[in-house]
Amino acid sequence: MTGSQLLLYGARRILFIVPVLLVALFLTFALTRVVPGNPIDRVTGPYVSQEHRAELKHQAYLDRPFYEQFAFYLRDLAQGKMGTSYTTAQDVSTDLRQRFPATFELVTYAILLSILIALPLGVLAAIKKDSWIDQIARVVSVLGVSMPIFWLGLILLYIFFYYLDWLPGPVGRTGSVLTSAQPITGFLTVDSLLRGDLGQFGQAWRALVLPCVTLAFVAMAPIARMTRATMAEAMQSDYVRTARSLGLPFRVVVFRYALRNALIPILTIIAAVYGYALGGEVLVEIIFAWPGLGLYSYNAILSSDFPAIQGFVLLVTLLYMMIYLLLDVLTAALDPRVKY
Amino acid sequence: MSEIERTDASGLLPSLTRRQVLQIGAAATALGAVQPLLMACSPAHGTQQTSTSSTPKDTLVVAVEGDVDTFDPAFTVGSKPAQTTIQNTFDQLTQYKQVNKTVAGVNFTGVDTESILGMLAESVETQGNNVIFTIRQGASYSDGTAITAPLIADGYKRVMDAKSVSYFLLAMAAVPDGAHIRALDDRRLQISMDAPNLLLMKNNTMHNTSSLDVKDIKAHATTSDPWAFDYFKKHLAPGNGPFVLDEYVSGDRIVLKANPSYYGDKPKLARVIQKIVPDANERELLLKRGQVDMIMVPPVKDLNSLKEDPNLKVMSFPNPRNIFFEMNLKTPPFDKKEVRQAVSYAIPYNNILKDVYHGYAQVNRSIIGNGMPSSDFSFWSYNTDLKKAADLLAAAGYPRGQGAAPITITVRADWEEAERSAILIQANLKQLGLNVSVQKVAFAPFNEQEQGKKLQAWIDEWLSWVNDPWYHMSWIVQSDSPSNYTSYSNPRVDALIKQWTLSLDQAGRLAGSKQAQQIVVDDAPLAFLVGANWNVVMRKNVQGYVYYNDELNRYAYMYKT
Repeated sequence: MTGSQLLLYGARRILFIVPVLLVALFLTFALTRVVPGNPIDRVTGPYVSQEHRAELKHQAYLDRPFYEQFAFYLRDLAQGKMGTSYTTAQDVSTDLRQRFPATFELVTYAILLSILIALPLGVLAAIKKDSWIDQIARVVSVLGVSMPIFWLGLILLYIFFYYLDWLPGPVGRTGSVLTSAQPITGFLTVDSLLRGDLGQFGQAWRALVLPCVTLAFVAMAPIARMTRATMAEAMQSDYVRTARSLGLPFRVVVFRYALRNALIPILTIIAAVYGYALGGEVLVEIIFAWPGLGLYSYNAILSSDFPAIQGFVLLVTLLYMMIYLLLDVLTAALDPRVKY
Repeated sequence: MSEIERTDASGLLPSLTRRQVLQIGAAATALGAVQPLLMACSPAHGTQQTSTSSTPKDTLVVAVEGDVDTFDPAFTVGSKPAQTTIQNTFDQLTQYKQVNKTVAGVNFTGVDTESILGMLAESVETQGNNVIFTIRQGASYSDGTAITAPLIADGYKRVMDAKSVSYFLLAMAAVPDGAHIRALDDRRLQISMDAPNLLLMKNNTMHNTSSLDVKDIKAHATTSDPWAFDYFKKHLAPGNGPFVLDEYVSGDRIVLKANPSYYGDKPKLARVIQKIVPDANERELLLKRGQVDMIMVPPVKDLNSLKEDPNLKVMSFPNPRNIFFEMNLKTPPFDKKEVRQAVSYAIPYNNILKDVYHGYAQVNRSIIGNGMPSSDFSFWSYNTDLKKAADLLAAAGYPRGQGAAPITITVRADWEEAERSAILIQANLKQLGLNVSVQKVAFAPFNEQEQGKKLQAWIDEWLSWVNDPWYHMSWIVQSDSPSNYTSYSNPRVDALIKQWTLSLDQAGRLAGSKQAQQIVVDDAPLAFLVGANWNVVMRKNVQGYVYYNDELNRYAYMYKT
């Protein structure tokens, strides 16, 4: 695929984002309105008159038919207004901007960690079938799939914070007493380096360890399983047999031929896990008091905070689509047979 | 070397292959890893593993349960961290007097809600329908603006125009609009009541009546929002209290620092960090490890074990908080008084007190709970008695529960004690032959259904910020109150509320309250499960906590040793 073809393909895919976003927005909008609960009752409590409550609902268009509410929402969105959160009183866009770096930093490091472990583990398990390393890969996969993430998080906290006191407790991205300077990128590990503040750099890393390991352990399972399965298949393929019969070094056979061919489904699963983790690592954020998107969306859902829920879904949908776009581009680069 | 020669000299160790050595090594490593895990999870461990506080002496770190909902004093109703922030950054005109008190056998430093002292006002004088507050000289906002009566009057007008909680508080005390509040001169502010009453002075101590500086309001006002409500919902205005907001990171922390220009006694703490930790168990861990000094809303079930920790102190304050089992009088079978009374007889009060609240609650036998003036439990007759309950059910036309509509008890999903209480109640009601189910719903739908009076039976709590029986009953049992969720209506109770809420006759108010309590107990729209205590847990070196009826921390009195 040439560079211009790739660009054209990228442009087509970006256009495709619009209808997908519209469908996602519509579904979220519909679901939030169908489920009982509205934000006005929460923010007013019992202390306002029915008339004033009705006035507030009117201002929020909540007394209008569903389709009108949706039309108003789309109009506001087109003007760049995501609305005001009823739980934080801030603009939803501000909330998302403030919280996204925390989630992105955590999830990115967790996925990198899981790739670093799961990929070699899966490759080794496939080329040394039924060996002890294969058994370890199986155990990791089964535990990762079956172990509840909140349980793992709590156990890690008990051991490494409460019992051994090696790592910070569930106090979010900074210690309980430390405060952070004005964010530059929002990524504490990066910001601290940019400022040359090694103390905060260390603190940021220490705070990341436990939530990262918790999330990575769960993310590792599907990546290791997929790597093992696709590598095992590749190792039994004709081209690998041919390569080996031609006397190519085993290392070359594994990495240049088998792994490269097996990589596409592995990348797909990594992208799926990454996207899922960005939008769904709510429990990790609750356990570690991590001020990210997961905690934000959890509170928004509990409080029927419509603008916040819609804003969150919009952002996560966009992220998902960007990740899949990147995946497709990578796939095209890896596999010359792929044509778009 | 032969196999026999490879055994050691003592002959105790069998011969091992390399593989076996590796396996044993792996097993030993695994055992080593499991041991701390098991110790960490063992129940006894919790009392052993505490450390000294790791926070600086001039900094109090408090793990709070949630984020700020709004920074505008006129609007905040749902978030204690927000209300606490406002309370500590704004003073009101008046305040309650601090006293040592004893409630239900527990001694603590609290407030006498019948004694009002000056705060921003150095003196208060009542002249007929008017109350005149003389503003303290030398008081200023944290940005240096001197506090004057006209400034406070404008602040109050804003509060009234918000039509939110503070407006309601003042309107209840016969101050219906901003025109009733005016500055007589630079130092004297007059609030006029349509009828003289005792409520105004109590309602006016709430943080919701905090006055913003009109200069700040004007700076952020728009033509469509002349009082800058939108702006101040998102930003804390410069206050006039002992602390100022130093840093707010949404979802993470709210940091206060001592206000250098505060007119009153300087706070002993230089900083207060309110760290947002949503999970109650995590808050507990942080406190035990000394990473925070104090935690809010501790899990009730863990209070006994926390009490055994030598580094911690559990403070449990009996208060008038009512935990109600509420019944919708518009929905069968609760439209019949006998059924409601039968439910009141069927509730296992002692089990709820001991097994759900573990003793961190008080017996409650009236709509006016412990610690509120005129509280009287003598009208109560519903000690758990399933025989009497069955007889009443039969009298209602539902012998052994036959013919009665199925009952759904709704509880909030985030409230463990309510769910456990509901299950205990369900078990007893089932013994009467009633068809009872328990449903858990999230906070928002619960709120909507409760406020829409759509629930059939449910558990909820009520704590009146103002410690006054008529204030309290006006909210819960007055026919047209927006928070009378049971749809209870008794003309005699309504008449008593109307007669006594704004009365100046203190003796008559107390006697009338007892009459109303007797009627409500007999009508049984609500069953009084317990009076739940307000609990806080802190490190032993944290001193100076004062319990206020609004349950908000006053950091100005707190310090660390």
